[in-house]
Amino acid sequence: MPVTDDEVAVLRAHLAGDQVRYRELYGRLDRSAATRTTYSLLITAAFMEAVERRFAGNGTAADVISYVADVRSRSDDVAEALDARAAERLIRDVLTDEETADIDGKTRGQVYIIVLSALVSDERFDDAGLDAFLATAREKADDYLARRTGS
Amino acid sequence: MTTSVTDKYVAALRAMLTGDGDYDRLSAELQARDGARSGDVISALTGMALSTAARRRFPDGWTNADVVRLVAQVRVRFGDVTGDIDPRIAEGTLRGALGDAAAAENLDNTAMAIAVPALLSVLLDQQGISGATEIDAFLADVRPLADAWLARQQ
Repeated sequence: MPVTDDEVAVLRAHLAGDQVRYRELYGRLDRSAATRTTYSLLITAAFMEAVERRFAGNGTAADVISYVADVRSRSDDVAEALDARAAERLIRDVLTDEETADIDGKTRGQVYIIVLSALVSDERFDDAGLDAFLATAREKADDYLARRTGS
Repeated sequence: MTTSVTDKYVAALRAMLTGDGDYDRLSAELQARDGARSGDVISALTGMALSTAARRRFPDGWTNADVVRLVAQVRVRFGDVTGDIDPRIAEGTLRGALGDAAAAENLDNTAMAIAVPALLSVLLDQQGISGATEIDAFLADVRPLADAWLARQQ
């Protein structure tokens, strides 16, 4: 099952900072197991796309440490919620295939959504830019889903 | 019996800060001589050194963001890709040194022992305290503070 327009709309509202609309759309989202999987994959794909845009070609380990600290320094809540070492490893995983299998799902999810939000904020997308970014992420997620199901 | 800061304890801290002496040997000798009290003195010295260096680094106050960024600078400086310097432990240790005692409660001692020398190294370096003269002057400031702390504990 590919990513749906509704799932893209939910993530778009979150990344655009429209939390009222995000909560409204998320509340209406189909919560079946299949949908939870595709929505998670959309977030993962968006995280990977955002990391590649930010760090590809010039992302040293020091850059990653500094960036995660920059994100954690933006608010005390984020500093508390974001596991620095897990965030650094998951960013490096996109860049250099670091082994991250030991990072649990909850930590992984927090890293993806917090760092993704920060990366998108830093990009300062206009509406068209955010749409294009999400279209690329959606394509990546759909490609992965297609490969996984062998279709 | 009381144990105060002696020249040998200061030499041990100096070896830790400069890396040009044998900190492990000196601390082992002190432990053999003074027993468990040696740990109290070394803790007092390193604690006062960290507190002094940290307060001088942020003379006008600090925020949690300052602490997060400084710990990241420490980890970058030491090339800590694997997270051996635990960010949360290092941040709690630094906040404790800056006066937030609650932040330093219940921190893992082993992780703190890794974080403290690294924090001290960068804090002193950022303040230009790297040569023998500057380090000796810094240690001269720290020693009476450690002595006073130890006196309060007895």
